Amino acid sequence: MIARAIKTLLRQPAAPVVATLTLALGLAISISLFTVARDVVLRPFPFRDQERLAAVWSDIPERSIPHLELTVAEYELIRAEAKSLEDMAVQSAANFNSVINIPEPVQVRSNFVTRTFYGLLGARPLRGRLFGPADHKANAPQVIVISHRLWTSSFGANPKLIGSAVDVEGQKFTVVGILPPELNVPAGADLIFPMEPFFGSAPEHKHNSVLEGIARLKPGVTLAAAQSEINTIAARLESVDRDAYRGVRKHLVPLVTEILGTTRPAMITLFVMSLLVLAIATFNAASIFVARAVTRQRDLAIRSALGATRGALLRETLAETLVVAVTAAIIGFVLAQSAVILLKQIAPSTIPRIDLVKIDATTYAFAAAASLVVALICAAVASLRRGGWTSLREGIDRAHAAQRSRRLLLLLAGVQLTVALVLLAAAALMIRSFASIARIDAGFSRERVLTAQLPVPGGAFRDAAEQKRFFATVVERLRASPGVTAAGATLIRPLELEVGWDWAHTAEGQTADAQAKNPLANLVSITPGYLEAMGVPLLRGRRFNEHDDEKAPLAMIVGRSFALRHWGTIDVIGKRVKAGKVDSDKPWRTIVGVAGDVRYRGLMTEKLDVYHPYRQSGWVPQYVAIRTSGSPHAAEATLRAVVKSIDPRIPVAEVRTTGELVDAKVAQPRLNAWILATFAAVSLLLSIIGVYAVLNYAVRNRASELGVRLALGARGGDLLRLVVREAFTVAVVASLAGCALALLLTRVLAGFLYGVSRTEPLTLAIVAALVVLAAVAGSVVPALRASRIDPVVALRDGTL
Amino acid sequence: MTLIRTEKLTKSIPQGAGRIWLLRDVNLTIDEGEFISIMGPSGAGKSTLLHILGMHDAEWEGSYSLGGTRVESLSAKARADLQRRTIGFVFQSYHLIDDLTVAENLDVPLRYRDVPKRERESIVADTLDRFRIVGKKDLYPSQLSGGQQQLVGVARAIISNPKVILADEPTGNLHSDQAREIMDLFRELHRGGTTIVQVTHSEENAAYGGRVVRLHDGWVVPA
Repeated sequence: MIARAIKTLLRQPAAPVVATLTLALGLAISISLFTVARDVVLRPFPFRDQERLAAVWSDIPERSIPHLELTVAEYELIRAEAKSLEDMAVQSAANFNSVINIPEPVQVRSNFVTRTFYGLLGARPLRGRLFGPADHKANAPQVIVISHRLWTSSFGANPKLIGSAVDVEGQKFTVVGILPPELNVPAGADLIFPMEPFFGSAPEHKHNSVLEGIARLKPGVTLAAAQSEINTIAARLESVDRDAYRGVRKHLVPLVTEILGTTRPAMITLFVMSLLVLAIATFNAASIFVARAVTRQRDLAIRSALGATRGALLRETLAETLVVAVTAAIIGFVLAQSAVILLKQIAPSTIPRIDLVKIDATTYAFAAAASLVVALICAAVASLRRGGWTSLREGIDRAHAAQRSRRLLLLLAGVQLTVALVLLAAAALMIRSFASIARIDAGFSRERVLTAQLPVPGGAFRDAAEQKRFFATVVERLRASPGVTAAGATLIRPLELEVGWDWAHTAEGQTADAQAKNPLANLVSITPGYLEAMGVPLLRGRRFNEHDDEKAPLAMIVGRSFALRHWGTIDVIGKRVKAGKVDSDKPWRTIVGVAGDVRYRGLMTEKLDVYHPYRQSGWVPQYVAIRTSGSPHAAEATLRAVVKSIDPRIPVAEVRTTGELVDAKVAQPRLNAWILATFAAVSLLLSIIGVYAVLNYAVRNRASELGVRLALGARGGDLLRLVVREAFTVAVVASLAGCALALLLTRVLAGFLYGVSRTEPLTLAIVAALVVLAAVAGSVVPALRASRIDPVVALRDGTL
Repeated sequence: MTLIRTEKLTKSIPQGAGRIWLLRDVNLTIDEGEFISIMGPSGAGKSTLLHILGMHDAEWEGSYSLGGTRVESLSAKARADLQRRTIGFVFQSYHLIDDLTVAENLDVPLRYRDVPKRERESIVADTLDRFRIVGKKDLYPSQLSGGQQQLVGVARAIISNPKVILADEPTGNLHSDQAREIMDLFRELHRGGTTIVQVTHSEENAAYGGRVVRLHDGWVVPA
């Protein structure tokens, strides 16, 4: 039967080839997105009973703090008292940099975890072991666990690494375990230390929010119940330190949800959208099969009259659609492999597990299942027409059959246009959202500025003062280098982390109640020259200079929003602010300048910025910023030479232009926009092909009618308009349906949109116009063919 | 007064290295108000001649004047305008448009002649009345008998008030009673002053007309 189906298809190969290619495109897109979505969000994490794992964090709504890490005091109290939890563990809230010498210094991202961290997750090592209680004792041998990534990239996947010592910032640590590739916890960390020997449990640090918590719920306990208990327990801390814990609420979120963040809804949305593209391709192919069914109806009617059962005819149709669908699946599969490779290359590294995406047996199974479903749908739709005759005479009357099928085909074209509009609307929204994000003024220059981290290994300098002098020398030499127009150093560069140094503060004259509502400011310790180098505008007053030293009056520069928040004006030079509460004994700082706002913690995160001169701050700079007269990349060699000449032990790491810092932040929305734009373009193309195929078929089968119209006085233009009007009518109806559907379905996009409303009429109007235009474009060739019809031939033969 | 005149009208189509001659030197004169029948065996060129007279076919040689206008000298657009003003066409297999009702089918020629909507409605209503098919106006062609369909076909041909009706075997698909009805209708139209040129195989139908033009192998042959 399959052989006969192939023979039948090859007899008139044009239509089956178009159907195959159309389906291949749809299948390639859905197969590749299925693979990525499965490996990134659907595949279980390497955790035991992952549904009982939760991330624990806080917020303070009354101070507009949406996410706050746990304090040591909270961790200890909750872990000791929560009955609903089997256990709780923590890691450092942010990765930090360490330098390993192998033997050349290499900077690696590192983190601390508590003793039960991996045990709580139920994780297993690839080699060696994970931390045990013995590793966390004060005098325990120094041990580390390393990531699979570091093991392969820096140690050549050496199986003998377990048990050997690695130099970490001048100290020897024994590697006891290697994490499996699928276990990227703490996220992005390559070197993991046991927390307790280093744990800052000193009283002055107990109430700093520096920990990310995970908890394992006891069997049968709900998240809500556990959250309620934890809140009750943590509330007791308010009596210990009212200011630190007032209004703090605890949240328990499924760990998997926390790890995946917005990636899960984004990936699932993209996968569903890819299925819509496949749906368009399927309807497209189904149209082609319907047209073929009508073309061959005479043949089938005669065979039916000769005894072929309806089931036999249906099986023949199914065999043909199967051949096309399976061929399409094979082509689609090959295309999907390339698409997956491409997606892995262009996807930002912030997407969890993107490096683990690979085509495997499940992908084959999905491709097979998808092609089978596609074949069944095509066969079912085509069979709606086959056997739809009531007599042999009617069966062999092609014109009659064509007439009956035209409405079905127009409906199929309309459905394609409707779905295409939904995809176009989604793509338009994502592109506009991406454009809005890309247009955000991050507050610094994106051109001709190079930044880099100079991670100082522990013990490299005697004290903070010596470390500050090192940075001052680096900045001074950089300024004297050719091609450098400004240079400075900073505690944190913009867009580096979503966390930072939060500064609780009191503006002079504030009441205790008003102070309690102060948002935490973003504290940045900087050297003179930093704001010039970064291109941060000075709005009032002056920048820091060399006179803002330890002996000078305490100075600060505030961001524009900080000034407006507290005084409603940016004319705030001379105003004073101090750290802590109203009654804190911290000294007042005088505002000497007002700078433009900078998005330090995320392009879409607005904070109140305060800058302290580095010599009047306890925080030592870690990054340098260099403004250049030419290409910023050229300054990298200068920077490396300067650092090496001052102290060869200090590596130059994370070298980025400010343009690259911004680019990294827009990578995910840009990828979403690109993927959806590709879907939309493909669906629009398929819709044009669909409209063309349907109308071309309709024109061919209406030749006789068109000939009659000419004989009755129609001009070529009348027939052209007749065909285009048909496409236009279908497109208008499809647009209305599509707009309604888009309003409904784009709800899932709301969480990814920035600076654009999903219900914006202009966007919908533009995509609706595009759909109508596409339909009209698809109708042009058939319409021209209709307008040039030879009436004699059309009337005599019923063909063009 | 002469309405149609052809001189040395010739039509051929290429086949292989040579050509097939469908019409050869056809000289024909038809006066206004005449009712003539074109007869001949299959392949004689009857329908070809009718389509040339109806200006559906522009590829021929010789001369053809309609109402004093030389068709061969006209541009395609002018030819189409002349056709719309002058010709009504009746087909053997009716060729009503399947997805239009009877009234909508009658409306089609008027629409292509840019007749305003209100006027069209009035003309269609008059025609339905004249052909006694008011009760069928909302029916689709598939709901009519062959005779009824041809009745609508004739009504559609005359609705734009043409000077001449060209009918290509108008009763070819009808049984004798229905055929007679249609031919009676043609006679009635002819008596009303309409020029009619029909192609027919039937001597009985030819008898409705005043003159018979016989074609054979593309030539006009003596009656």
